[in-house]
Amino acid sequence: MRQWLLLCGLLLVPSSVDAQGIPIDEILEIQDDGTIVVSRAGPSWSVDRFAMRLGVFQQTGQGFQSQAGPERWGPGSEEALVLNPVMYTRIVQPDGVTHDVYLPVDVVTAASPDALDAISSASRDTETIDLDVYTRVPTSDDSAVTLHWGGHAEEQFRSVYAGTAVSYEMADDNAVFSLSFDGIVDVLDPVQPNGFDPGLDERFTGSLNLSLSQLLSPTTIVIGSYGATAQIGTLGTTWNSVPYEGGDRVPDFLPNHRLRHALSGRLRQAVEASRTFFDVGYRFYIDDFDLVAHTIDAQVTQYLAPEVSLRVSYRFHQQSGVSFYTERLPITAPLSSTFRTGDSDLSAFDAHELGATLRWYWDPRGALTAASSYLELTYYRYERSNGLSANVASLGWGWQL
Amino acid sequence: MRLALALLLLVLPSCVIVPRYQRGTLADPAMDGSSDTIGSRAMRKFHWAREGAAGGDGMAAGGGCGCGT
Repeated sequence: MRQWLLLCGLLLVPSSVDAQGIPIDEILEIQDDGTIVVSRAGPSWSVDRFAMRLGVFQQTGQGFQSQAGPERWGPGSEEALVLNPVMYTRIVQPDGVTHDVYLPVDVVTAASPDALDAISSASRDTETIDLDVYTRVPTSDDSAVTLHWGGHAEEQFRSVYAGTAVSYEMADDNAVFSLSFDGIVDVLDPVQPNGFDPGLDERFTGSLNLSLSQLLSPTTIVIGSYGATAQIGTLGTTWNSVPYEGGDRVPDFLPNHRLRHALSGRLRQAVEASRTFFDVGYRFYIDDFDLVAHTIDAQVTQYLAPEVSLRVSYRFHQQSGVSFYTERLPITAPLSSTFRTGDSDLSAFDAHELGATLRWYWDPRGALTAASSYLELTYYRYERSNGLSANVASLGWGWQL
Repeated sequence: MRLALALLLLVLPSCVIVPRYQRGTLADPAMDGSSDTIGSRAMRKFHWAREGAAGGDGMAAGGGCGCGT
C-alpha cells in the first residue's frame, strides 16, 4: 500500500522529478520497504548535434600520369568535378558515452580514369561512400577512451578501419594529452593503364599519433602533435602510367612500403576587445620516398555583427617530390627494377590556397560555442605551381538539438 | 631536437592555470576546433588527395579517389 501511495505522489508531482530529485522516467520499481530502484541506463539516448555540408569542387590541370591528353607522350587532363555531401551527428547516451558519426558521399566525374575506357565512359563517373564513427567513453573525470571504426566503398576500392585513442586532461583541463592508433585495410582492384584488372590487391596502414594542447592564457591555446604512418602493399594508383622513351607508356612502379612522419604545431589567439581570432599552424612532413614538405596556414576570424563572422584563410604548401618522379622514363632504365611515377601529386610543387567563410550563428542560450547552430557559405581557391588549380565551394548548416 | 626544445620552452611557462570562469573566450567557435569538423575534414581530404605529403599524423594516408598518395 505504501509504495502505491508513493507512486501516486510521484505522478502528482508537476515536474519530472520526485520529491527526492529522481527523474520519474528513471524509476524502475518501488519496493515494499519504500526503496526506489532507479534505472542505471537513465532515460534514453538523444541526438545532441546534427550538421550537413554540401560541397562541390571543380579541378583543372595536366599531369604526366594521365592518358587523357592529345599526345600519348604528353601530359593528360586532370579535370575533375566532385559533389561532396556530408552528414554528421552526435548521439549521446545517458551515461555520457558519445557517438560522433560522419557519412560523407563523393560523386566524382574525372577525366583520368575515364581515359582507360576505349569505347565506353564507364569510369568517368564514380560514387564513393564512407562511414566514420568515433565512440568516446569517459573513464574518469579526467580521461576518456575513444573507439574509431568505419569503412569506405567505391567502384574499385574497399576499405575498413578501426582504432583507439586515449586522452587525459591535466591541470584542471588546462592541458589535454592524447595518444591514438589506427589500422586500415584497403582492398582494391589494381586496374592497369590498359584497363585490364588482374585481381585483388591489398594495402595495410598503421598510424600512431601523439598530441598535446595547452592553455597559455584565457585567450591563447597552443597545440602540438607528432604522427607516424607505416604502409605496406600496393601504394600507387594502379592505372597511372609514365611516358617511356623506348615505347609508349609503362605503368607506375612504386615501392611496396612507406614510412611517413609529420610534426605540427598550432597557435590560437583571441583579441577580446575587437572579437578577432587568429589561428596559425605549421606542419613538417618527411617520408622514405624522399618527399619533404612544409605547410603553413593562417586564419583570421572577425565578427561583423554579434552573430555573424567572416573567416579569411591562407595556406601555403611546398613539397620536394618523391625521388622517382619522372616525366619521361629513359630507355636505359630497366623496367622491372626502376621505381617510377609521373603523378603530379608526387612531384615537386608549391601550392597556394585562399579561402573565406561567412557564418551566421544562432543560439537560444546566448553565448556562442562550438555547439551553436549555424549556417555558412565557404569558398576556396587552390593553385599549384605545376598547373593544377581548383575551386571549392560549400554550403553548411548545423543544429544544436 | 632544437625544434622539440623550442616547443618545450613554449609550453613550460604555460603552467599557469587558467581557471574555468576565465575560459569564456576559449569556448568561442573560432577558438574551438570542433566547431567546423565536417568542413575541416572535407578540406583535409581535398589536400590529401592532391598532395603526396598526406598522412603521418594519425589519420588515413592514401586510399580512395584514385589519389596519388
